[in-house]
Amino acid sequence: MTKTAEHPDRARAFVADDARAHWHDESLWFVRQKRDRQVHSVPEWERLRELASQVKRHAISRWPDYLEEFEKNATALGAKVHWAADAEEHNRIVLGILRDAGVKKITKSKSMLTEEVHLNPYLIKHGIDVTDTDLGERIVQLREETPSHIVLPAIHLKREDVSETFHDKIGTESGNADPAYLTEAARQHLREKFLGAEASITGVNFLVAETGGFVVCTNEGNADLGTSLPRLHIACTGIEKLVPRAADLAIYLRLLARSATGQPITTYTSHFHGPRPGGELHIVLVDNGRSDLANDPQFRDVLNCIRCGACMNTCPVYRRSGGHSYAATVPGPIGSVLNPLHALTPRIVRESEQGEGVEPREGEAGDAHGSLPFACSLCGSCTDVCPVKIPLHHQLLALRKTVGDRGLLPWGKRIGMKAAGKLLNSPKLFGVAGRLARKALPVLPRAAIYNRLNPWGVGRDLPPAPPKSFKQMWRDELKQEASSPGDPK
Amino acid sequence: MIAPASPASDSRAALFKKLRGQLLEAVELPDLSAESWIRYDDPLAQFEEALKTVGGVSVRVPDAAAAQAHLKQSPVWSEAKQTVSLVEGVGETTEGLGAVPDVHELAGVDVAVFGGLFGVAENAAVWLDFSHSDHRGLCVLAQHLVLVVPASEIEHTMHGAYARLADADGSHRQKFGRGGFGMFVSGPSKTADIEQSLVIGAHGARSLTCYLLEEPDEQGASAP
Repeated sequence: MTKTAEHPDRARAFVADDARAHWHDESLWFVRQKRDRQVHSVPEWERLRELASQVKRHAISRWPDYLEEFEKNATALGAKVHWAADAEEHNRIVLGILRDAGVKKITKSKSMLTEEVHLNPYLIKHGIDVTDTDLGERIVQLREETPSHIVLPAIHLKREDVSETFHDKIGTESGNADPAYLTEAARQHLREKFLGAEASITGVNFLVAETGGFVVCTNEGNADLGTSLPRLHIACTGIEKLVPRAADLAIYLRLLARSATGQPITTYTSHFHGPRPGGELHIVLVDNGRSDLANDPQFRDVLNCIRCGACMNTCPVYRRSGGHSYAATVPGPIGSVLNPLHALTPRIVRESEQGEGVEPREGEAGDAHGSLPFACSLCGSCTDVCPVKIPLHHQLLALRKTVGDRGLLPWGKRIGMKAAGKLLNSPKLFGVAGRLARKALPVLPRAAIYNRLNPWGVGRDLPPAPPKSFKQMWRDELKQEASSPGDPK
Repeated sequence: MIAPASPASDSRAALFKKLRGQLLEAVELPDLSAESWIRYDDPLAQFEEALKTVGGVSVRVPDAAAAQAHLKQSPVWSEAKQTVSLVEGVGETTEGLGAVPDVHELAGVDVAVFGGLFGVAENAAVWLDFSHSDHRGLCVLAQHLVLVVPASEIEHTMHGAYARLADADGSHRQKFGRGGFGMFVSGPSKTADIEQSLVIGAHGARSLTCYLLEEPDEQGASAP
């Protein structure tokens, strides 16, 4: 098994800069608070979450029917629907459409799907000039980084970082880090790109089976500028973004922006039904492992996800370790479920067909994102804020078992767990160990406890050992009560 | 539809074979008409309040003529070189811009005036219907956006909004199914991608003014 970097290893650099880590934590908590204010303005919030979950679960329960209905209606509207089994096929389809149209220059609005399938590097390799137009995505594109958050792609950066990048790449004044100035510079720079583009690629927030249309939400207006100028529009989407009826959009649009950024709705909520007059519209529907997820009742609800990012903003681990520590397109709690699932599910599916003991295929075990379910304190805050009621922390707990069962835990944790299992299984052993620890801890030299065999002790101290165990205290208490009956306390 | 034999159709067939083979328990589709949603005492006032929080400006006026008078006084209008109006009696269209063949030629428009069918109280969204025109690029190309909405046409929530857009049978097959484009716009374009500090005027409109017509006449303030 190849050893890959684990979440704690990747978080180390981020937490080393204490001031910045705190700033990151506070920025996201600010977004969480804005969300709370919006949520409290909607008395039926809990009912909306319930309905949002139920509608999505219904859609998945009749997935092929709704996909067919969507395809039929979208085709009738004049759109061309494409089906891609995986990332490679998706990218091939998109490149094919662009080549057929003789397109060299495109603009893109935000799409986590195209990040997931690594469309940008693929197109660039094949000679297409790709400009990300969401401000946050443009910033990370110019820096040759990946987004660290699905809604706030540049949340890990400070204004001085953006200032430096813009000075280098688009010629803004050196040292001017005023967000208004930098945003205006990006506006001018990207206007040129919009006006010169020959095609535009967007993501999709919701596909509507009933009408064959789809909805894209932005605050900046980049999806609308992108799609209204050139005649070719390619919309790339995962197959799970389906809702049965247009009326269902009301539920999700009330939840999405409030959960994401604490706004009552995004500035632009665009409903595309067919190509614009004289234009061409392609919709690329991508599976890339999604269809397997429907099989498992324990994890099926991850398909509800509307990519609002609320679970990231509230997660104490995400806020303090930064999005890049997850080394995944979707970080945070939902990413810690999705990434190991995507890595492990093909093997679990094979096991269910062929029985236990299936050998992992190349890449399956080594890059299983096995440490992500452990990047979690199980506080449950993600589950509380999720607008579509994905039981995230329950799934994270369940995934720890899955990861453990498949021998994907690091050696230290495996041995530690085994030892703890033995210890906690035997009351006698537990009692002896406790007595020893109470005696030994106060007198042992620090280095015997806080060394590299105890990663938990880095930055954390044990509380002072109590003189008695809980069992002893309890026994003494009972004795005292027996000796003084009827004592009114 | 018989798909042509190609790798693409293989993927489609394989996907449907897999999905059809999965036995999932049935989950009922909830009946949304049975739900009760928040209703504001004064939806118009709530709309104005919400518009303020998303960075827009609302102006109540008796009619289109009053909107026109107010607009002509505004700095946004007096500084504008090119304007386009799709609302009878409010604003005007600079000569030559009325019927440009290519939306790229509208890149220099300073102010665009659109009629909104209705507004939504909970979030200050206004529905713009572009199903009969190809001016949709204009509402993001223009530096400033002016909307004209009848003050009586304010829905409480998004549920009411979609009910407004529905066919007689409550579905959206007919109206949306005919094709075209429509959007909710709530306030001016904005971003907070640099250190979470809010900047108005990201790619689209730098300002949004919404005239609420208390007594709209027959022609003004309907569809664009």
